[in-house]
Amino acid sequence: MNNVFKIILSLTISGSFLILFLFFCKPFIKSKLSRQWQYYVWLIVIARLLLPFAPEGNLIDKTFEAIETAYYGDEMQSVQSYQSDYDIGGASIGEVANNFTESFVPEENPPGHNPIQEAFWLLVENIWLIWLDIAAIILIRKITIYRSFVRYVKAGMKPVSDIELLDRVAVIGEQIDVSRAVELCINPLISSPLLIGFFRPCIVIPSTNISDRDFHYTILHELTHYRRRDMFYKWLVQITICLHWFNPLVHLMGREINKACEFACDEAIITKLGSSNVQDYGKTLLEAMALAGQYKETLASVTLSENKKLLKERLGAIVNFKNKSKLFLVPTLALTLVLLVGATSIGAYTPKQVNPLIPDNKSITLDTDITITAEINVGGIDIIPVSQDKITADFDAQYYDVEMIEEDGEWKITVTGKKPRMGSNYVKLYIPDTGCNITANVLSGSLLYDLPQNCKGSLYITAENSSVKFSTTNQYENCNISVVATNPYFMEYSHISYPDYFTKTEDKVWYENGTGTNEIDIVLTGFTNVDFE
Amino acid sequence: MIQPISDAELDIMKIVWANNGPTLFAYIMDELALKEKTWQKNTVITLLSRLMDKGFLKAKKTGRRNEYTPLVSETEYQTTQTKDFLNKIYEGNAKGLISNLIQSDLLADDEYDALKSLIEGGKRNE
Repeated sequence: MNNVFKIILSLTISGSFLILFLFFCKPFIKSKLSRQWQYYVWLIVIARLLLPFAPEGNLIDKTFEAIETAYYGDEMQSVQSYQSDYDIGGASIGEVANNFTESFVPEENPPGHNPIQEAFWLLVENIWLIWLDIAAIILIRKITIYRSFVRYVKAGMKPVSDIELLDRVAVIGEQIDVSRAVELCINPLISSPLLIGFFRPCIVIPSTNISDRDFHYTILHELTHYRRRDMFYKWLVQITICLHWFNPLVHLMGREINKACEFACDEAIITKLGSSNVQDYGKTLLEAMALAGQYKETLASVTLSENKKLLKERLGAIVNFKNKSKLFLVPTLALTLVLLVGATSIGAYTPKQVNPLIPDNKSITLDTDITITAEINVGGIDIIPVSQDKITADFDAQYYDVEMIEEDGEWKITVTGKKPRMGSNYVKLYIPDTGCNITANVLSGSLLYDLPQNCKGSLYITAENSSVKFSTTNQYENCNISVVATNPYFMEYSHISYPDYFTKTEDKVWYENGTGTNEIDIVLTGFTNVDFE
Repeated sequence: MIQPISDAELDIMKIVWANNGPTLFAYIMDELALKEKTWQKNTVITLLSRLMDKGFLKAKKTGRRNEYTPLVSETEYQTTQTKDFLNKIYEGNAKGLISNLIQSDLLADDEYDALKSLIEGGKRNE
């Protein structure tokens, strides 16, 4: 699976835990803890859903690692059935990896050559693209809807020219520390007051024909939204929803935050007003409600009243408002801490570092089992097992480009020759002499392999227009060797030399000895010289 | 096209026109206060930005202060306004307007003389 997709999946999982936790807590804290806190606490969840950073060894990361090992283990067993048991440096590697059974059946098709399987893996590899496309489409759609809504509001609105009303907006703004001049417009087509514009705020009211009290509280409410930058919060939520479009919990969270936003705004206003004005404010909410009901579009714009049920709840909260006693400070802090710790310890999937390319003499130290996938395109590679626990490539940069990349515990080594003929100038690839699993694809090149003694591992080579050569010091002890071809011609006309204890049948050259813990399988996809010394 | 502006916006434009050149925000506030228009600062800022949207003014930042320069001259504004007025009330008939001005004694004697010489001067130029 692609790393991008793994990251988003891990974020959505850990975010979901936090969302569920908050929903679970809601009945207990709803009327007890500050509404401000209930609104802003979601920022922790949003941070968890958006930021792919987490301390090492966090829960999700570990889980993903475990799944990955199991997942790739399965994949190897079912698809890459040529794997066999192996150890490295005497230490056993990865429990799952050790469960590989020797189930190699040479007559079977090589892995990945089944078109359905190939298509499936292609889909899995590229699912993140589909996900990203949908996220982008949803986000663009939301933006378009919002913009057409703003256009609709702007088309029908006129600036209020009554200086007295403008002055009152300015005075209220000053009272609640809004330094920016706020535009006031009137649009009879809208049903309830709203605020548009991120940087040039504009309050749009359906009519100026309202009582002074209603005007005052309407403006106060909208300006409070502006001062608290609720527009940005709302859009942050919308972006989160787009990225996690497949997660219904995130959509629920969005709805919850919208509600919490109004409650928090009401609370901020009441705290400022003092309880004597609470009733007036409540009445204004009701008045605004009486006007409401012409259209439903409230996406990411800040309106005074969103719907009846919410309004009822809000009025209840306003009437029951008391300054939260200091007693609740302790549970508030405790809950915040729990969430923060939860968010960090649940964590996220962090992709494993890809080793940077080292020029000329490349060497990579190994700490786990080794699987090497080598692509040899023109030129030669000489695989030399030595007693070390790292992979080193020694080559002349004049003739070769060598790339060594680790991905999910697999080494991808790409050798590309720069000139068509390089004589005996080979890339020397030093690998641990305890053996490792090598998959090599040789195209117009050469591969030399000095088999180590007591080698445990597997070697799977496809070769076309190349030469492959093995040398041994112990007459291929404990080896299972087979040479087959994708076309009988390749078998017939390729030059294959082997010791007389090998067996040749019509379509196969093979040898089995001892425990057979070292598998060597060669598939000729073109004319190739094969030489077992 | 010159857009219509509100009375309050016109008040501000008059101050800027009278100042003959880039006008500072503080100056506008002072002049408004002299006319007993003690509007809120943000109200004036809102009006100024409306004027900028309508293409009447442009603002130039000098340091932290805005300097406002008119993009529409007073004469230009008066011309379009008069044309509008003429079309609306007299259906484009200028004679009707002038005769109304004279007949309803809206012109002082010296103004009448000035107008007369203006009309004759105009004829002479032809």
